[in-house]
Amino acid sequence: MENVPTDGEAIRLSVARPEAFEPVFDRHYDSIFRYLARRVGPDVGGELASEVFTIAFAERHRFDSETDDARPWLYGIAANLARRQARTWRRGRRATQRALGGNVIWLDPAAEDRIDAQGLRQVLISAISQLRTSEREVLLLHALTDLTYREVAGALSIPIGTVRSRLSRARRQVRELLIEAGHPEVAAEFDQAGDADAG
Amino acid sequence: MPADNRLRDLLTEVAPPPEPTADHRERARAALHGSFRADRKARRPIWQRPAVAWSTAVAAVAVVVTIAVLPGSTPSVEANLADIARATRELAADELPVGSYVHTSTNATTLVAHPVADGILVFYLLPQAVDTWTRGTTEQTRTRVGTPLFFDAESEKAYYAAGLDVADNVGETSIQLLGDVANVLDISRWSDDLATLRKQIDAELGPNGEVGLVTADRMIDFVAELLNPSLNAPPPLRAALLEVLGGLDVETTSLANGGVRVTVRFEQAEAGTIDRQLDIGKDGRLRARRQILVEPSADFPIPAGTVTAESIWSHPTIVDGPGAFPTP
Repeated sequence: MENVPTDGEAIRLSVARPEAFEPVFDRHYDSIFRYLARRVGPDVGGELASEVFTIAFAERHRFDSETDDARPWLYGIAANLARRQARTWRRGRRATQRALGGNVIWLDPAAEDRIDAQGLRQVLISAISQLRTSEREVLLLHALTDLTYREVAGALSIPIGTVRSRLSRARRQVRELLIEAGHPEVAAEFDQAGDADAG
Repeated sequence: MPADNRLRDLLTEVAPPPEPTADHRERARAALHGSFRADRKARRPIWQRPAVAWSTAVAAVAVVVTIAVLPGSTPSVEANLADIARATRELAADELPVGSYVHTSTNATTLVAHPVADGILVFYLLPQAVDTWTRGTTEQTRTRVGTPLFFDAESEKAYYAAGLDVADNVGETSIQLLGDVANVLDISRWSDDLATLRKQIDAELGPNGEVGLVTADRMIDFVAELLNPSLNAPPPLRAALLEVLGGLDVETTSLANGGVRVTVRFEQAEAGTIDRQLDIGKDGRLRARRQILVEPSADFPIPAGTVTAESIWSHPTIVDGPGAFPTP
C-alpha cells in the first residue's frame, strides 16, 4: 500500500521539492473553493481559491509541519482573502456584485425564485450581515466548512474560548433578529445551541 | 450542535455551495505549477537563470540566419510609423484572467554554422515552429524542429555523418519551462514615456549606461525583443517602443496590410552588409522580424540577398493555461 504523506509531511518535503506540495492542492482545493464561492461567488471565489494555494506554497516554511491537517491554515488564508475582497467591493469597485450587508455571503441570483417565499433568505443574510466582523467570521467559518471549534481557532489565530464566546453571541443575535422578522419557529431551533464540539 | 447544524442547513438552503468546474481546478493548478517553477528558478545558480540565457540568445542571433519568403511591401511616400504609434496608445490593454496565459506561435528557419572538423564549418537551415505561453515572468515554450535544408550535398553529408541531426533534435518536440524571467524580459520594467524609455534602453545597452551611444541596429534589435508578441506588451509601451524606432536613422515603408516595415542597414565584420527589419502591424504589434544579408563579405559562404533571421508571429491569444491552444 502506498504511503500517502500527510499535509504536514507534503509541505515539509515541498521546501526542497516544490511538486511535493501538489497533494495538498488535490486534497483541499474543492472545499476551499466551496467556502470562497459561498462568500464571494464562484467567479471571484475561483480566483481567490487559486490564490490561497499560491500563497500557501509561498508561505509554506511558516507552516508547522508537525501538524497533519492543513485545512485550518488554508481556511485562515481563505478567510483573509474573503475579507480583503469584501473591502474591495465596499470601496465600490464591484458595485454590481449581488450580496447583502457589506458582502458577507454570495447569493446565487438564479436560485432566488426557488428559495423560501417567506423571505427567510433575506432575513437570515441580513441578520448575519449585522454581526460584528469578528463574530461573523467565526460564524461563517464554522457554518460553511466542516472545521471544529479548535480548528476555527487555529484558522483565525484566536483562543478556542474566544471562538465559543463569539459563536454564542452570534447565534443569540441571529436568533433575536429572526424573531423580530417573524420567524420564531426557526429562531427556536437556535435555542438548542450546545457546545458539544469539544474541538 | 443542533443550532450550528441548523444554521448550516439554512445557509445551504439560501446559499447553496457552488461546485468548482474542471476549468477552475486546472487554472488553479496551472497557477500553482507556475509558483513551483518560479521557486525552482529562484534557487538556480545565476548562470542558469533565464535572464542570462536571454543574453546568450541575443548574442546567438548574430550567428543565426533564417531564410523565409518575404511578405510583399510597397514603398510609401509617407510611412505611417508615427500614426500607428498614436493609434496604438489609444488601444485597451488585454485583460489576462487568473491562470490564463498569452499564446503565440512563431515560424522560423534558422541557419546554423557548426564545426564538423578542424576548421570546417557546415551551414544549414533548421526550421523550427515554436509555441510560447507566457504569463508575467513565467514562460513555457514548445519547439518542434523540422528537417534541415542544405546549400549543397557536401554539407548535407557532413551534417549527418557528424550526427548533428541528433544534436539538433531534428523531428522532435521539446518543452521548456522558464520562471522568474524577471530581468530584461519583465515587461513591467519599462516605461511607456518615450524619454524615460529611451534612457532605460540606453542604460541597458549603452557603454557604462551612457546615453546616445547605442547604434541603431542594436537599438532595433532590443526594441524587437521588447515587442516580442509573446510578452504581450501593453499598448502604451508598444507605442513608446515605436516612437523609439521613429527616432532612429531608419527607413520605413508601408505594408499592404496597413502596417509598416522599419529597416536599418549596418555592417557586420564577419558577414557583410546586413539589413535588419521589423514588420509592425497597424495595432502596433510586431508581426515579423528578419535579417537580410545584402552583401556578404568575401569569406562568408552565403549568397547575397539571403534573408537572414526571420521570425513570423501569430497574433497573441489568451488561452486557459500553458499548453492550451486558441480555439479555431
